Amino acid sequence: MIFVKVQAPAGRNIYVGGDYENSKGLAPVTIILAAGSHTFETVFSNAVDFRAQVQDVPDGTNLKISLDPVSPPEPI
Amino acid sequence: MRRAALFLLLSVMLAACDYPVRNQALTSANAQAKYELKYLPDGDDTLVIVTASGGGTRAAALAMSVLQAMDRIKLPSGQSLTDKVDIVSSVSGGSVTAGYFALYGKDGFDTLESSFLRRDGMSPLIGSILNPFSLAVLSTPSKERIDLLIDYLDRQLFQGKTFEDLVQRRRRPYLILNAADMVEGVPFPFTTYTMNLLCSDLGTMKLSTAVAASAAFPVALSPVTLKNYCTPSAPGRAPGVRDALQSSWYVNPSRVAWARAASAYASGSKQYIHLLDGGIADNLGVAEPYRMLTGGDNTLDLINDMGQGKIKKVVFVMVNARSFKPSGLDSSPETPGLLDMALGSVDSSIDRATFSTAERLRTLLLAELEQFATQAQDPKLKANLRAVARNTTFLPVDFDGIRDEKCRQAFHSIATSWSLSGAEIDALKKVGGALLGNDQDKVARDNFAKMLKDVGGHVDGQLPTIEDACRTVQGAG
Repeated sequence: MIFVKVQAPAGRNIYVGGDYENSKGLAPVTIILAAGSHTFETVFSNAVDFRAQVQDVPDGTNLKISLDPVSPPEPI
Repeated sequence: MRRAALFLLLSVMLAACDYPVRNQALTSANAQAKYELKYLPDGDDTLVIVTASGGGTRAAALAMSVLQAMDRIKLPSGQSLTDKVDIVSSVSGGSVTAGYFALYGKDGFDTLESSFLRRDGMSPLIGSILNPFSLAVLSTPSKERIDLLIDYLDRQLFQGKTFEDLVQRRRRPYLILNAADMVEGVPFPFTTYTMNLLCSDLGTMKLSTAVAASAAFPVALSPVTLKNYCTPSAPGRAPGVRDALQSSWYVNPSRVAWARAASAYASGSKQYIHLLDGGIADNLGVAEPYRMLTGGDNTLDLINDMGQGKIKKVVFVMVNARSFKPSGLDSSPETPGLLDMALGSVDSSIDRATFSTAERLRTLLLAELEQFATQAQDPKLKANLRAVARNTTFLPVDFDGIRDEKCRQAFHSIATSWSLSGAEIDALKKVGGALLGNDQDKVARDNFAKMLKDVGGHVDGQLPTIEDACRTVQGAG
């Protein structure tokens, strides 16, 4: 398992892996995930406006990340 | 008479043109009614999971026996532990009980017993094969051997009910019926997520078809074939799969293997999925709950509910009705025949899969949850995970838990069949409850007492004893 703390953008719902129907909670939030690669996003008006990716994170890792703006926002 | 014969011939010829379509395409209309745990009424902070293994009527009866015993465990709310089951995941024979329990709750146990467990389910199946009309129909692609089981399950129990009926019921438990993809060799859970990978709707799927797929024992029954409605130009939605595919196999081999199979479905590269008995890949039905508990790429994400403190306690009841009939092959120099080889290779692969999945689950619940808590740096997350780890009880119900060898062998020798004697059913009805609290084994007894303490429950009356169950099974022999 890996533990990823998404710090920003604060107060926004965080979605993982393109699963836009199931928020993992409002940032800042620590999310528990399987080891490997993951994509973290926020959605506004049916478009992704913030995103960050982590690559090949091994088991037992704790990470802190902030999402970067997506410009222009990408429709989901 | 001539007219009837002509009609029969024409019917057979017409039917020969089409293979049965068992699943419907996902449309904007049926995409709304989703069968997912989050749409069922909220549970409390105790997560109760029951898994039921394969093993024909033996497995169905054992699973019911355990659920009936759990109904005697009364909680402070006045409800029983059976009322509080959140998830039931099953394979093969266990799926008959799991499916009926999800549909009717504990009110269905009497009907399950009288209309299925105590019925001779083999004669109607064999009779159908021997019936000339059935034989004619079965020689066409439109009706397959698995239809005999689907029709029987519908006639006796499910009466055409679908997953949409479970949505309408709006009650837990959440049902996961598990078959196996015979080409990929991986579990195929009948969930909204998996069906959506095929651009197909779970709601319209008949429960009898999913149960039969879960119980389609290789060779004896034909597979249940699902159509993949995704195409390369119109692929399915597959949350999590892209990320998993971008991961190194060396970091998380099981996640990458799952994603490759899921991707093959969603991309439309596999046009048909042939499903056999779920036991080939996971005879305990624990693979999907395991994925939910380990933060897999799954819409049902239980590990994060634990981290956030929504789930504080876990009760995991794993019912294993594995048989182990002594084989004469070991004492003969004679080369085993074709049938022995076919059955032996299926049985041993099921046993191997059963052992490894049971061990993975045991390790997860008894060691890894605590390890996750140690690894987590976020203090709140750490505290929540640690609390869950300490308030988790794993209750395996398995004939192997019986110390008395003769009694254990007697239960292991109950055939894998859709027809058992009344005395065998009586014994199975006792042994499930007896093994839940195993009065003859201190470790099991302490485990059961811990569970009662964690959930604040007590046993109303007394559970059956191992001695009583043993007496009954030895009388049955």
